[in-house]
Amino acid sequence: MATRIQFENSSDIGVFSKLTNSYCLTAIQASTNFYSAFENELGDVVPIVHTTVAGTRIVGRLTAGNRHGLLVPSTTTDQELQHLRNSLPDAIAIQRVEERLSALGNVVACNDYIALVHPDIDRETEEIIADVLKVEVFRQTIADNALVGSYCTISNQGGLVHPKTSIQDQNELSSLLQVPIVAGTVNRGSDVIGAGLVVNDWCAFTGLDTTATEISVIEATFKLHGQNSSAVIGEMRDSLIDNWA
Amino acid sequence: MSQRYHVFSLPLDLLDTLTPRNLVTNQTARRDPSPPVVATKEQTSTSARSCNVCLGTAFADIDEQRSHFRSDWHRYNVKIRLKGGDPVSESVFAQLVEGLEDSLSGSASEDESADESDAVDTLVTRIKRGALSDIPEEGAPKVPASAVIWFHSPPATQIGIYRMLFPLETPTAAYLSELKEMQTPIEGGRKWAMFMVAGGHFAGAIVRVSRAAEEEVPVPVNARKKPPKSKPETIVMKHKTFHRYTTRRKQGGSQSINDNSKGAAISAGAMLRRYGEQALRDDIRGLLQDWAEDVRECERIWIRASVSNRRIFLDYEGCVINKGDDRLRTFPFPTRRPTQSELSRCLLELTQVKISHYTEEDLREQDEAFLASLPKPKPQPTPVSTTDIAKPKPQRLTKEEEIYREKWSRLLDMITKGRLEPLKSFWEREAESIGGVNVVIPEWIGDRRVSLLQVAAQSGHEEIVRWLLYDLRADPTIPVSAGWTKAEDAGGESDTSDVPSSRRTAYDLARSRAVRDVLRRCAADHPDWWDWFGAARVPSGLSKEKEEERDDKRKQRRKGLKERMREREANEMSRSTAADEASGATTPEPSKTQMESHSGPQRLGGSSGATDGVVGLTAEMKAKVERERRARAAEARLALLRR
Repeated sequence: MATRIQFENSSDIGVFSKLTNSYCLTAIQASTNFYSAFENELGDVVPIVHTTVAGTRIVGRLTAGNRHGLLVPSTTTDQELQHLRNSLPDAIAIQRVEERLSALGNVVACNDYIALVHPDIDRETEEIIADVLKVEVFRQTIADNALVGSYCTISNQGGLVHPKTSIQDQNELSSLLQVPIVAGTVNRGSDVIGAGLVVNDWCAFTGLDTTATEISVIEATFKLHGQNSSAVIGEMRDSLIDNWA
Repeated sequence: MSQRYHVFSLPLDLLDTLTPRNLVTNQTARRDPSPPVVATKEQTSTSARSCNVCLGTAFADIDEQRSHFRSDWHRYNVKIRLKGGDPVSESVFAQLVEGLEDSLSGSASEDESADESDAVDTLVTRIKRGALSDIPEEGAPKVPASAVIWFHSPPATQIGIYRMLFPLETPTAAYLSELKEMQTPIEGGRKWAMFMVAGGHFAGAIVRVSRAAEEEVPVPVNARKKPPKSKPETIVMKHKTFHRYTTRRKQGGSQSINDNSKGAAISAGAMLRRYGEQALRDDIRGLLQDWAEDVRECERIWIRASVSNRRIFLDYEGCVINKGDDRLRTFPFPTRRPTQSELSRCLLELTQVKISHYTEEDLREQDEAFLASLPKPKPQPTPVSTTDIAKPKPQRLTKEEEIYREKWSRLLDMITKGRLEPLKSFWEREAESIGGVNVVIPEWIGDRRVSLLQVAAQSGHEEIVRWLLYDLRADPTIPVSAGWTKAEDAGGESDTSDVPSSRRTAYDLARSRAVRDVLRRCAADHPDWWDWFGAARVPSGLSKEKEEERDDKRKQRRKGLKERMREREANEMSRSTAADEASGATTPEPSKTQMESHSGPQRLGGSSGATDGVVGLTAEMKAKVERERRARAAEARLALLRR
């Protein structure tokens, strides 16, 4: 199921949260509405951690992670690191990364097997990503954008990429990731997929502005209905949003 | 690079054969090859197992694809495309990397992995820099000065030595004698001092770069097979590094610069940094004082420092190095953070002679290419391996030559435009000077056609062809020059284009049947003039009778056609009246055929990848078609992966 939520009147929930198959990070807010929305869906399944990273609330953009681990930028304070270590299961590796491109969420897009990273990322960082997240790392661009984390969201079930990604590139990515890739938008036409959508293998959260059409594309792409996704796509092929619509 | 030469101990036999390469030539060898522009920018492949960035390279399986996506070649192409450049093919990339390794030969000691990752970055930055430096400067000297002086030794060896090694203001001609001077050992060996300071780091060393005279032992003849392990040429005699905290974290720059521009900050950090700068300066000056004796003996003093840091070394009371010292040099190449290893790398880079092995032809080609590239706004230095030679500039023509050329162009003009009368009078006057009707068209015209007859035949003026054949007896057997291929002739609607392009004559060039008929008629009239049906490639003669016969045939055919038409019309009339009688609403005949012609792709979008199918549509329809195509692509992907 895809759920529409808002963080303090902002639909860019991907900025303020990070969702993986084994944990969820949310930014600290005056009210707990945002947190509660996650709690409703994820309940007792995975731990939800209220945290800041480097003293900011943009946890989703600063961190990268999957089922196996969590990477935080070098600006993360020791207290935050300790808090995360205490809150997350021991099986999840946490590592601070000394990387010039410190908004790891923007430069890394990953599922549990594959990570797409910014072409300019350091060799050392690449190795850390491969070791901590247990993924294969590929330097890629999405629709000629270097910020792969911002312009795509991938799970083990599927991937949503920037609406201007060419069909050839989608094919290439799909073959590389071995999951279906669909070009689309979130938040009523926004191409910054990573900011508007957080997803794991069984649920998704999108910004409040996201239209029903977009939601159905997301559910079909990430197989959140629990039914045959090709049937879903077949029945709503007209609503597949692309760069022409 | 099998051999390495040290600047101060070049082998004698090499030294004797050296000649300085002229100023122009030493440019090309040092230029980094810029990536050849890859013509195909559009992505050719559509299969999923391919890389769209790397020119649509296809892969056999997913493992191959994945390993490709991790390769340096792919990384390079991704980066260069982000920077707006053109991706290169694998072989070109290999060349680029090779070129890079050659120019960084001094850094062989560095560990492999660091080198690897550097290669792509260096290439990318270098290409960016190359693009910037392509902008020509107004009034700049025509040939920019190079950091390296090249010497050539026949047959195919060049050595390059940094200009900075030579005394300042050495005239161009004197470099060779200076180089020979360098080979003579001096007492105690030559010493250099090297200092680097940046960002609070300091590294300094006194090195001996050539063996002392007394150590110079002549190699015995019997020891030639296995030379004794001699002492290394360069020895680091003294070295020292310092580090102090001087740079402002996260802001960059040094504290003193910030203080000067914004006023002194009073934070604790600023105090620390100010102290650090002071301490670093004192450390360095103390060190210089300790080494003063050695520095005085040094032949060169290499300093890498920013403008403000330079003041640490020079211009203070009791300074060891004077400001105007002619031994002072800066490193003529980029250096990294001042460390001991960086100093030794720089030392190696400076003292190791650069070697290349081009033949003299290669060099000449490079020179020509470089010269040709100079006046252009965007000089494209040719990569080492390419063989394109710049065309020599047209020489000044003599007066007679010019008149002669003028005549030729007028002649060809008249033939192509079909002006028979002026051509006839022109020919009466100028036949001798042109040199007869079968003369070969001179090369400078740039025409692939060889004879006047061929020109006339291709421009399709039958009366000129007739005049040339009958009156001047032009030779129809002259073949077109080999470079004239079918493709170039594709514009002409000559229906003989199926002949093999190996040997073509005027007959093959003829564009219209009228011209071909003239040739065939002449063949029938005068079969003894030329080898019409062999060398001239005329299929058959065309006599008066044959022509009449042909005309008859055509008339017959036309008549038959007319009759059939009439018949069909009659048929239709009768059928339509019959249909009208049967019922008022029958579908007319043509509409059926129309339906059939549309029965191909009924669905919107047609076959996948049919980009040309949307050409004539409105923007809205295009959008619909594109959307449909995307939906289907997504569907196909889902189906594929669902299994």
